[in-house]
Amino acid sequence: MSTPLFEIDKLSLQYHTNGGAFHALRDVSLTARRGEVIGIVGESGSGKSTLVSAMIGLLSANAYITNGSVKINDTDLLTLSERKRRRFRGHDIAVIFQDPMTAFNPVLPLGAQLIDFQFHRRGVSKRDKRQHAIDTLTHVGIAAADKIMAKYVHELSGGMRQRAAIAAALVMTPDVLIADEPTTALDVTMEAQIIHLLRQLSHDHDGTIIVVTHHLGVIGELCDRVYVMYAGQVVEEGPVDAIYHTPGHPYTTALIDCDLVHLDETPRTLPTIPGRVPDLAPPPAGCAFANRCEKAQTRCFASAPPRVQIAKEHAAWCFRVPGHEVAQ
Amino acid sequence: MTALMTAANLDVSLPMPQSPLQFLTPGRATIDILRDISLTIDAKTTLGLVGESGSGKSTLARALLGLQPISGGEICFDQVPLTTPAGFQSLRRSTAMMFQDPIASLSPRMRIGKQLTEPFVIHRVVMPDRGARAAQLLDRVGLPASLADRYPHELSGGQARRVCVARALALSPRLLIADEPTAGLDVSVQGEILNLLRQIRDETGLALLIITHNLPMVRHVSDHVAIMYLGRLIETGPTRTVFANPKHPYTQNLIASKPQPDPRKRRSDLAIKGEIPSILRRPEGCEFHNRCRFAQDLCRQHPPELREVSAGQFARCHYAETLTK
Amino acid sequence: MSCVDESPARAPGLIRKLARDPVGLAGLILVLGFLSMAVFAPYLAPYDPIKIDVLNKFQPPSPAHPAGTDQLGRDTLSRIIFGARTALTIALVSTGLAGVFGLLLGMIAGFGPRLLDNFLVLVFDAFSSLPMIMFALAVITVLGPGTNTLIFVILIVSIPGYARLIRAQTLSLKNSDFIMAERTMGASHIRIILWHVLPNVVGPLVIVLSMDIPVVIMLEAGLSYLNLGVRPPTPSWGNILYDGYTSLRFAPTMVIVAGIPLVLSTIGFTFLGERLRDALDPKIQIRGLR
Repeated sequence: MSTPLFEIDKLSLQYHTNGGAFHALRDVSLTARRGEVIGIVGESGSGKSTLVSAMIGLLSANAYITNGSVKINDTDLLTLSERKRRRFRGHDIAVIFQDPMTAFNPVLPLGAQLIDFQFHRRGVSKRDKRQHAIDTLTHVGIAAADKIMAKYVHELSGGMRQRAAIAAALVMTPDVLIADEPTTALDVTMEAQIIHLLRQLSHDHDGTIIVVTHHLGVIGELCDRVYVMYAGQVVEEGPVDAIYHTPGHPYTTALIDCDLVHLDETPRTLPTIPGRVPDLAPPPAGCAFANRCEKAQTRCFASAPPRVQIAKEHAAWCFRVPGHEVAQ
Repeated sequence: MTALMTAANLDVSLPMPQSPLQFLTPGRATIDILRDISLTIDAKTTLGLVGESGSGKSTLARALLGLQPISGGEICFDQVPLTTPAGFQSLRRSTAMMFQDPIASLSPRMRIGKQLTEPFVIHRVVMPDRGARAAQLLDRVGLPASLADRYPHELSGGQARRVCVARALALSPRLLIADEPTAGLDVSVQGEILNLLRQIRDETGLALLIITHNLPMVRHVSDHVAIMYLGRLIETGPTRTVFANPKHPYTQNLIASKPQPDPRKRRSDLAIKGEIPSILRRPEGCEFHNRCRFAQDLCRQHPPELREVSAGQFARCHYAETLTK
Repeated sequence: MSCVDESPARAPGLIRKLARDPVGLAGLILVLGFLSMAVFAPYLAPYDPIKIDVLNKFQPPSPAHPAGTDQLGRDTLSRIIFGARTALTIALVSTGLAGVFGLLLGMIAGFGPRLLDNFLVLVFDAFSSLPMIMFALAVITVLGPGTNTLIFVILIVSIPGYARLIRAQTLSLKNSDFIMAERTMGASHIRIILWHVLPNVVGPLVIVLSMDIPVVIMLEAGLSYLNLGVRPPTPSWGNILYDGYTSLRFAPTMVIVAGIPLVLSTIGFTFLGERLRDALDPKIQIRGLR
């Protein structure tokens, strides 16, 4: 097994607010190897957006990392100076943002921006950079790429914009490509096409792709391994097939049940998860999901559940993983 | 089953966006937003109106309520044709609409309790105790009465959604139009809103028109579906029939495009290519032909009619019977 | 139920939010100070501001006359205190009236029929093309100087700006979801304008008005300095400044004393307006929350 290309180790992060410290991330660990597509799935309040900000080192002013590291090729991004970190962004790590409209400067033509994004490639002529930008645009399925280079974002259709945003991340040939809700703003038929494109990219992309989404369909279609997040913690990790077919954590099970796609018959009442995400300022002592969990026992409220290894690379943080019950 | 609201051959067209000197060129060009829409909403049933952005589904909803002037066709409520603004005004008590963004559809500087009782004040319904009525409405959608003192921006998305449901149902309308009722909600809570809507429909017998691009949702909440593409209905019918046996290639593509959470059902091919063309450049013939795998010369030249292809199921395709998935 | 008590904390009151910040607090104190000075002028002033006492002219500051006396022996401090009354009356009345007219015209233009809107915008544009000082001088030449003329000039010059602000706000609100929702409920236009448009456009207007008050105070002082504003003997910071200027050699304190309230009131209203804008802007509130 190759060494991880990207590794987050026990990352904890707090937002300091008027209401006290808000524990947005607690002990989040994640590894990604070359050639893998990693999925991070979670609902609102799960901390996945904070995790994305932490991964690229763009946190808001009231965010404090209390513990942990974010390493690319064994370099810890969190200990770097802001100048060095800026070199890393783009060169080693790049993000495809949810809203392609805001990913580009509206008053500059696309081509100029795609050339600008390659600022870290020293000693390369502007002509080569331009050619590289055109190649990348063609690569993401944009026909007549050299004409598109002269256009402004608002002149492109929605699908083109999303493709251009992906190209913008790719021109920097990053090792780690983060796709933050890449299809949320898109219609069904466009979503299918972007998923298809991302899957193609994952085949010939040498690094790793990290897909962050709330949408199980995107995870199922794209990812190799999945991290399920809830209330700032990873509650389950494993290969996508195991997560979907033999989930270990009750939250994963409930989340999959709530997705209407897999239902063949219409039930009398549609599935939901009752209750709500707990307040994280301060976080609950026990399992964060206990207040919404059907299987919760007294100990679930009292102490944090351990990591339970279910199979190779498949683990859940729960006392009551089916077949792996932790003794009382 | 009685028809509550019907639309017959509805057209909506808007003046083409033009240069500031447009008054120099008389005879202004128009774009067709909706073309020849005919549909029926039956009492006590749910109709799902499905379409991607730019398909005109929200315009249709506004036209049905008289918020968008129509340029052709007829809208009837209770078999009575609505032709004048006053006619639509008389509709306001028996219809209600929920908008996509629940927080934006609440007046930002008015307390929730007051907003909820707005319909009563507008329609001069005698209300002995305004506060009690607000509490009662909040209770009906499962919210505590204490929310009545809040302002919209102090609510979460789910709460605002419920407040909108409560306000829409305040005067017990007979038709509720819900535009993307689960937009912005987590999967684990979207079921709550849908269950609530269904429960209220069963209790009060109101008719629901749900506008969405979320196919799995439509499949599980609606009795009938109508699918729109570029301002036209391209397939309608009972939900079960349409999902089991979609006849129009676009419907087939939509159903096949939905990403599957089950990795074992991963697709290798791509069902559909291209994007919805701009409404300013509506294709000749069948609007879908340039994205359709089965397109023939006939499709490029002659627009197909919406015709019955099986019991209750209508499709706008020349080859609906002969196509296979 | 999932969404019972998950809402963000209630925002603190406006005054408290202003008072929590040093700049806002300073603005608040200064503005309240000048307001009470204007309201309670007869009780605060040690002398009658127009009582002439030629024997004691050009007195330097002393326990009897803390700010000295002018060329007619009038107590400068009393004149400053009553000057606040003049300045604030003109500023508040004219901006207040301009605000009300601007609000009405703006909402009518924004919500009314297209033709009326076009006409009103034309009128606004025509009026705001007038250069303020030139227009003021012209009007004063015709009507003669005085408080009413001053208020009239300020009204004509500032209404179009406010009306255009309100019109733009109304237009953007007109197509928003909550107005659409009101329409689907069958609310009348009057009801929509009064209950739903008005509360949402008043906020920005209040901010602009409070930022404009110091401009009006300065204008009044400027015109009075030129003897085109408030007519003597009514005390105004402008004509005190003028009197001080003409007698700079004998009584240099007068200019300084007359300048201080002008500087402080400008600072006060500007600070308050700025912090008011921050406090009323919901986006900034959200940033403070999380």
